[in-house]
Amino acid sequence: MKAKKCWALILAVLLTIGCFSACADTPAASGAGSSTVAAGETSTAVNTDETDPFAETVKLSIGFWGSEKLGGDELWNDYIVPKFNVDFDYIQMDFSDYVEKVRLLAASDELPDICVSPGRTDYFSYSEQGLLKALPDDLSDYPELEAYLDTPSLPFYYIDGKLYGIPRGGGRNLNNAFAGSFYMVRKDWMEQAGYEEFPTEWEEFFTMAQDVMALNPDGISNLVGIAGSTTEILDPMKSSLSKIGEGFQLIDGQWAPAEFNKEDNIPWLELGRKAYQMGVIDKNFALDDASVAKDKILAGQAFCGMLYMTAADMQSLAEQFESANPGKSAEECIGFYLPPNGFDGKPHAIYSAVNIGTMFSAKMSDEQMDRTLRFIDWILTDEGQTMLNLGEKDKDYTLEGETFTSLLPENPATGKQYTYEEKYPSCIIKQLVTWGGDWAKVSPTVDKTYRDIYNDAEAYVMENATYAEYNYEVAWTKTDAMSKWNYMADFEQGFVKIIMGTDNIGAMYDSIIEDTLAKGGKQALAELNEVLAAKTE
Amino acid sequence: MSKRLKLSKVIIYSVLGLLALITIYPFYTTIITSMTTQAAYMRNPLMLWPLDFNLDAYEYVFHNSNILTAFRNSLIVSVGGTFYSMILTVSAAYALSKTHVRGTRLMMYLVVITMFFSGGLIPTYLNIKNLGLYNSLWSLVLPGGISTFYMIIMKNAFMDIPKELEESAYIDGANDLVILFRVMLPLVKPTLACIVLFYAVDKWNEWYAAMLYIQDKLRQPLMYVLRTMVTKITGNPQAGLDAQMMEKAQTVYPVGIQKATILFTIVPIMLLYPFLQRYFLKGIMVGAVKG
Amino acid sequence: MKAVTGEKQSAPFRERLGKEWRLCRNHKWIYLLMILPLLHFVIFCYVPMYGVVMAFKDYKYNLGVMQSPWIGFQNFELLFGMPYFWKVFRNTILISLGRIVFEFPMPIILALVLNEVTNNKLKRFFQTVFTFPHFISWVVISGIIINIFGNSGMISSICEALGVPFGGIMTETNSFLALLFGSSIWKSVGWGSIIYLAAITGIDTELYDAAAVDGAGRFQQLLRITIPGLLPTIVVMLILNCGNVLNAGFDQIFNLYNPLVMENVDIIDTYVYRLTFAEGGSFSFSTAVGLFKSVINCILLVSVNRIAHKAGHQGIY
Repeated sequence: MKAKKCWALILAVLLTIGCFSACADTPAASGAGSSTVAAGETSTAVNTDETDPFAETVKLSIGFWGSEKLGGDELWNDYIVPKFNVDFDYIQMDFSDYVEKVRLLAASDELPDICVSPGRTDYFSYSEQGLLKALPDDLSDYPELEAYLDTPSLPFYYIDGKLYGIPRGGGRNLNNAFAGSFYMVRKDWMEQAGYEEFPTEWEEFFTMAQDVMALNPDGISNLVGIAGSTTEILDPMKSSLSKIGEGFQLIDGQWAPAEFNKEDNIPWLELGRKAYQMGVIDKNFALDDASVAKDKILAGQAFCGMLYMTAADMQSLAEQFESANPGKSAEECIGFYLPPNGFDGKPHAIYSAVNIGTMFSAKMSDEQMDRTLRFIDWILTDEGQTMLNLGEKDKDYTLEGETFTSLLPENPATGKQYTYEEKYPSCIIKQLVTWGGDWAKVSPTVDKTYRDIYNDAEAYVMENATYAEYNYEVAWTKTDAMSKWNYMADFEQGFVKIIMGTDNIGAMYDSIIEDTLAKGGKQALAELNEVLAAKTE
Repeated sequence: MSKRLKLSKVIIYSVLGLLALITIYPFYTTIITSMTTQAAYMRNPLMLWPLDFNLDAYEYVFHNSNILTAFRNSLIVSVGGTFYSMILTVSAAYALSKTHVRGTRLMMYLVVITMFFSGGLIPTYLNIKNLGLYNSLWSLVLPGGISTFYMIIMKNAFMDIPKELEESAYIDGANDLVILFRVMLPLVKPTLACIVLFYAVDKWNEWYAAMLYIQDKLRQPLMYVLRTMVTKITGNPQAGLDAQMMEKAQTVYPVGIQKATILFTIVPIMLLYPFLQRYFLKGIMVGAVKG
Repeated sequence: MKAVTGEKQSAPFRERLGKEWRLCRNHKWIYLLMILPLLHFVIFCYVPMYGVVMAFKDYKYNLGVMQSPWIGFQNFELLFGMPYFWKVFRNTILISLGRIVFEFPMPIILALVLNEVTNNKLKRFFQTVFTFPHFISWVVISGIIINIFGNSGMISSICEALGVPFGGIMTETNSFLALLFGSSIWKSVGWGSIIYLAAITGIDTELYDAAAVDGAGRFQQLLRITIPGLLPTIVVMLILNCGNVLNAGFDQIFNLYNPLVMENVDIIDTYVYRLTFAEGGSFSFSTAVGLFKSVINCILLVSVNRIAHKAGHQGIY
């Protein structure tokens, strides 16, 4: 018996070791491994320079949350890689963990050549500590990139006159003040309650929600008026009715976050509290997740909710509504409207400041940098955008006038035509530079109705808005304390408490400010003002 | 006497039954909601029966080409890892239980120190890399070799064995190793079964180490793959959903996927239970009533 | 084995050394068994331990841990300097204390109750079922909890239907805490009882038989035999739990808390997480926080262990 046990033990050990070494020998997956390029392969004629900038194969390692999607399809292997003559190496990371992974890679001195940036503070520490390579001063070889980088807040990221990363914007135009926030509304209920147009005033908006809730056309128990998480409830009010979007203001001669301006903020909080007490705001909003507004409306549980969306999102939401509510047409039931205007009767638009999205490792050579920038430049061109969103004309799609037809084959798993992202997952590389919001405005894949809604809304805002600029110079001033703590992290909680509470608003507001000052705000603001005062001298 | 016994039995069973109900209900809800659509879930978050029944969430999980490989990886890591950890833990626990032997006290202090103080993420990460364990399944097994928590439990289990048994074995001329195998281990079977279970579950659920150290898609364990699936569905919040997922967004939704993955956590463990339960669930006949 | 005469003092050094060596050799297997574990601890725990100094340095990526400049206790000053830190510290201690008082006994009680089930099949069924919640993550459970106890959840609807005023369960501190402990118990009681069930298995059945013969009833047996038999395990688990006090359960609290109760429910981990999340998280600062927690936890564990020793129990070491 004992001998048997011994043998069983030994066998198990050997088995385990065997398995391990088997795994060690497993070759890298075809999908995630580096793709090879035949050296002499020429790209499809891209440029007609005498000296072909793509003559030599260049190696580039890329750390990007879509990494695992790269390298597995024809778009990547047959078009992009030969075109740019690059031997790619992919560092695995996911959207949920890229922040931590990049920081670890930085710490172990193994930043990939092209790397997504975890955040502003990281960008500054890496560049100051010599981990990043600067962009060349002369960007004339990359005209689209040069135009892209022409935005007022970018100089803030220069260190000794050099830029160490490129921003990731919503679209190719970084100087965009339209936030793309819309209320998704049950149009049919709105009309039944007697409102033909979406209100442009907040009080009217809340009254309308109340009327709809009273009417309750579909007889839902627990009907929610305005659904959303804290962000979705507060953001539209904040941007329309307050100056919080501007960042910092001079309050009593001292720079402080706009939230510290009590007089400015109390009006909209009063409005918010009124709405909450009217019962139109979801009672659960302090507990809910970020996507709850959309989910509740789609399920027919809520009247409306604010979402940030592009034209493409609008179409997808409409489709989702129809699949969730068979028998109801999105056209009749769903409407997308701009949030009501500010107290001055006009919409507000903020020119927000950019954030560095992609950075480059200091270990890169100049040739590698050149190749990378040419690649990024291409992504920003119309040609690149078309290739990454629609594909090749007459091969993947046809476009006759306004009629767009996809020529992609059928996906055996779903029985429907492939979508572009399904067939060519590597098109996600476009997110290296922008989120693609501007493409949705013009893309033939999006229904004209939604494109019109979006574009009209944007035009309306741009024409009529009172503009402001995010005061990034002040907000992002680096001081010791401010780089260690986010003392404003809990400020919004105070707003939630006010809206859901019953005590005197002024007193509650005072205590929020006191709180924030006590949580390191005092020290941070003192330092900030010192630094700013020294600057102006 | 028998009447009183009956009453206490009734109370016990009804309390346990109630508890079981409370325990099962949320779990049951979770499974049910993984088989329904997003919209139906929003309308009835606590449904008792899947309305709009569909298994799209599961289909999505299985269609991910890596799922079987990931499953194999997790199996290897769990089995191999538990095995490895048990060897280390039992050796250490036994050795450290002999407090009269010189040096064991010191070693115990050294071990307890590691329970509290560790270098932090960066040095650990660098260490694993320097050891050449990066991107290898070993990185999921070796660093977690001993859990001091479990080892201490094991050690105390050894120490609870009456000294006489040991001493009589000594007198018979056995050395420590023989005593371990012949005397000690059979007597701590319940605790052994427990620790095996604990390790197996820990290793099966491990995803964080995989996130840090496994680069190759084909070497990722199941839990990590399932986690990334959820975020793939949620997509980049600013970019909107992956177009493919938009279409199925009603049936393959993040919360649904999260819940579907629960079955992957539980089923393997359930398969393990029957083998281990008999060790820590001996039926003890309390009282004179037998049969 | 002290020598009766004073000879021991004057015994030659080599003889004593020889004696020690023989003792060690008799127990050579003990040392041999420790080789692999010690190797493990050295390689995976002690080698990276130099990172602890990061708490006293200003970590620079390009300089690495060792070359980064010293800043002494600056990180700790920063940590303690925030008045809210002490409030959060207090919260952490109170919540942990609450957990020890309310949550710790539960698995023990469950094990005792389960032990009273004589039908083996039922026993296995119950034990299996009770461990299910352990496998569900807090993210999912918090979703369920919000659906039941939230402001527009099941209970709120029931209250509305019955006309009972509903003040908010998750948004009031006391009820939130009750929910916190309750859900934590729900999640961990089954899994936690396993170790106690194992310990009960180890109790000699003869003791029960002898007690029965002496006329002891079921409850008497529980009190006089089972509980004392469980005591060593309980003590170990208690000490180990006390070594965890400043951790207080980040996952659960992070998924459940909301602005209205945050003040009283914030623990060190959630507080630091929130305040450093946006700012890129200085590694050295988080190391400092971790170090602070470790030191306190260690002190607590050592003290409780000492108390256990004094009370005549095994302790951890």
